Amino acid sequence: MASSELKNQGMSTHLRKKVVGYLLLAPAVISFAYFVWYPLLLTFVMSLQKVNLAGSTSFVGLANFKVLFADPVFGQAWLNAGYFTLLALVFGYLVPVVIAVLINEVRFGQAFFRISIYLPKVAPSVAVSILWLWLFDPSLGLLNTILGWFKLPASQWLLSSTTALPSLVLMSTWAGFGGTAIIYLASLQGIPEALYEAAEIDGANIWQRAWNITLPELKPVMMVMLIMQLLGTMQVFSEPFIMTGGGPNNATMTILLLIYRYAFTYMDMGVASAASLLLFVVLAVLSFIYFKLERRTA
Amino acid sequence: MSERGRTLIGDQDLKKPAIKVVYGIMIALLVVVAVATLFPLLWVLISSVKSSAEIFRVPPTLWPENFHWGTYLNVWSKFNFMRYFKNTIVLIAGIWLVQLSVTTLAAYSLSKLKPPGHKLIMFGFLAALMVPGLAMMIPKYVILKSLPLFGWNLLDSYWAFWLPAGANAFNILLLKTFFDGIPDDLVDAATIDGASELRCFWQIVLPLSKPILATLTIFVFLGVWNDFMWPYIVITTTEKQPLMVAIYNSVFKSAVFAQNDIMAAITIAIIPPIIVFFALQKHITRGITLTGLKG
Repeated sequence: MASSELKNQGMSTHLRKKVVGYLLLAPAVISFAYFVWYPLLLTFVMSLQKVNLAGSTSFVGLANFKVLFADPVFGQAWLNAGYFTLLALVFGYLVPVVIAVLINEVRFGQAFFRISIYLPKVAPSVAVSILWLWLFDPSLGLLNTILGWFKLPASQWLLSSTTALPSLVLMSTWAGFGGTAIIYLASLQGIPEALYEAAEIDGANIWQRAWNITLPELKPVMMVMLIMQLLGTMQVFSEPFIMTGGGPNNATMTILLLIYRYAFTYMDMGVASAASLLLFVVLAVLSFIYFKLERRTA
Repeated sequence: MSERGRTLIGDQDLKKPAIKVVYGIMIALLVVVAVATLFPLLWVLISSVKSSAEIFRVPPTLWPENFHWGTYLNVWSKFNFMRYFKNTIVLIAGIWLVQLSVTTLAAYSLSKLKPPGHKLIMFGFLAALMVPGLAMMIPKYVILKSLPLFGWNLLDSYWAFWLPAGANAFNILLLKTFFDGIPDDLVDAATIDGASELRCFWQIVLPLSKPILATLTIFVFLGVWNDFMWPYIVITTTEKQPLMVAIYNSVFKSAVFAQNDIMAAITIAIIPPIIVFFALQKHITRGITLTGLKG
């Protein structure tokens, strides 16, 4: 009697655990179904449809993609993403690594330097964009004044199609390097002291130590950060939206800005979905690589 | 800095003159970087207190001749800051409540209750990390315009932010990893003592999770406070807009405000996140290391 009661209780506990388990998962599953899984499916469906303002839809096959590929601005947006990435890699990629190493080496004021470089990351993108519009202003802006001190020629910054994109890269480097440097700093502090001590005893000088210990230890994180930067570059939006509207001459047009324009200016959700779908594919591939790399570093 | 460990440059190295020079250059470089980072932020403040005449001087003056604090009174009286502060806080509170309750419950179930099929469900959640943020704006907009099965139009309402807040794969992953670190025995022992799963979650797991919940709270605050594009698209009624959208629409884009007014408005908008950052720095740094790589 006693043992069967215990068994019954065991059974019911087990069952209850299952039921509660599903109940606790239900809100999340419903949220994901509505706002992640269904939207993904919907993008695919809508990319093959003509969606008009009244909300009625008709199947149009690959017509939306044809519109997209016939639009020179679409190609330009991808080229811009590529150019943005290239500039960010050449000028911005090593900055956080170097700064992190420097901060890790100084023997005072570490907290001060860490906080100062991180602050721009705390500032809202609207504030940062408006501030930099002001700094970039060719006649009233601070940047041309500073160039003047060094007898350098003034720049048109955002107003010229050749300098507009590099200007955005400059701004985003300022806004983002601190956040990345903090991550490098964390992994620098994880390097075992014994490695440096052993190398010192073996007579390795500082450059040899930097090259053979510091850099290899940072390499996995640097790979992950590279992918993060690519992911970020593909999704630049509010800064060009606020500062340039994609101009001049589409020089700062980004993929998301173009999607926004198709959806909310041209009211063509079908073409906007087709563009989103193509962006998904690229982002998904990049994210997949990111997770593979991150798993290896973790 | 007593706990500072051994790094690239050892104390022995620093005794050599050549290394001393390099070390000096390194410090100089860091100071330059710190100035270059902080000065633009300070420039907002400097520009905001210049007079309307001084702010348009060429070349710009590096320090205001007179401090016109009246700019702040002017902006405060013409732009309803309190309303937009309130809007932002209401938005943040709702998102916080939905996001934290939905994701902690789900993560607890995935970590400790493990109902059949939990691996598949986890995979479904993680797949969401593959397509980040704004890339989904078109389908999300269409869905919010007419919520499937219900037909509600959630555009231009805060529900458009509150309802989807639970679909956060990043939080679930983070919380599940954290819960995995809490020994199963602790939970099992409580269940055998007759405590229900929910009570066990409430009385044992949640109190242990305070640090990570604090970190996630800060991320929600900073993320929503700073967010611009999605609220700009969704909330079209001026009176309902959160602060950042309102500053863009009604201060930056409006002809009523001069350049120094705009700078004053931005200064006011930057202050709360900076206060939060300074007050809760430890949680943020822990968040960055906890999440490994999220900036």
